Amino acid sequence: MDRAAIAIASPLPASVELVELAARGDIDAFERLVAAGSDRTYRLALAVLGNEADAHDATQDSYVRAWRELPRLRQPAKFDAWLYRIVINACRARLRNQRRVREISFDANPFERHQPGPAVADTVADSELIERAFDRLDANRRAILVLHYLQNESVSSIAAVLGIAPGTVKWRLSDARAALARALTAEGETRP
Amino acid sequence: MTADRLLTQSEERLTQMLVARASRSARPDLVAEIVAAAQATPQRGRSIAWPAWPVLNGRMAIAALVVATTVLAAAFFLDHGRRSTPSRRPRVRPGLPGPARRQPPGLHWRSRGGEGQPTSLVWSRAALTCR
Repeated sequence: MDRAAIAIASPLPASVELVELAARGDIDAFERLVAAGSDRTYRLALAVLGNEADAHDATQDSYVRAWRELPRLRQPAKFDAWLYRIVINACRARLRNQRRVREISFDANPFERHQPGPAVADTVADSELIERAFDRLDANRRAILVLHYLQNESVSSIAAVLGIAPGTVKWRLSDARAALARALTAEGETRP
Repeated sequence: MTADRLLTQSEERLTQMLVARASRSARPDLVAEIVAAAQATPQRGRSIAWPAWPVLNGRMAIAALVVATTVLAAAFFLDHGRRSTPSRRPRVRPGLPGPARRQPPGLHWRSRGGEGQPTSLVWSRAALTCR
């Protein structure tokens, strides 16, 4: 699947006028903002959390928080970056408090039904391995990898979203890659 | 496959995995849920559905408090002044007849010819005797 197909690589800038109206308490303007951006926001949360229910909750929490804090937003033009930061904070909080056991669907194993060839099986197995390794990472590392690899954001954009310096973004990206390598090693050792 | 090799390939695999992971759409009712939750949440720095009139009422309450305090203070000092002025008190002499003893000094409406008759403003007897 192409990244452009899921329409989250380059978020559509929210209308400054709508943001200003919503900041003044206009619920209709806020509804239009939500309708325009909720799918993108949900997919960002889903990529970080990997769980649909959690992603829904994180998206809802993020928008409600955005609504509450909108009067304090000084630069309406930066609404998207501001909202992403709220979403990532919501994901971080959700991962921190996550105590639930991860559900594994029986249908998730493609070998039971399709018996694919060795190359496809390796690809699927590697993808699963990467997903498990990714799930071992903490929220900050997940967020920066999602922003970089899924949303294809530049270092400066990631810095704006996370509220950190560009140099720190580079360092954190390198750290997240190293952590992913360690997680892959650990997953490879525990692989059946 | 070693982790290093996998990691080398993993950037592309990671992207594919994240795209696949984020390919599901949100529930259709998510927007309605968010808007309903937002409607129940007050914005920070904005009053909770308080129109302008309670502010006016607050000002009016302060004004009423100031007026009431002034009136009470004035009443207290006037009363204090009246009580502390001996000349304003009616002096009663034991030898005078009943009504006159209790009559305060000054002008009073009095009936001259009994009930139903016109009254006139007269000086009370006590006022005359007090002086």
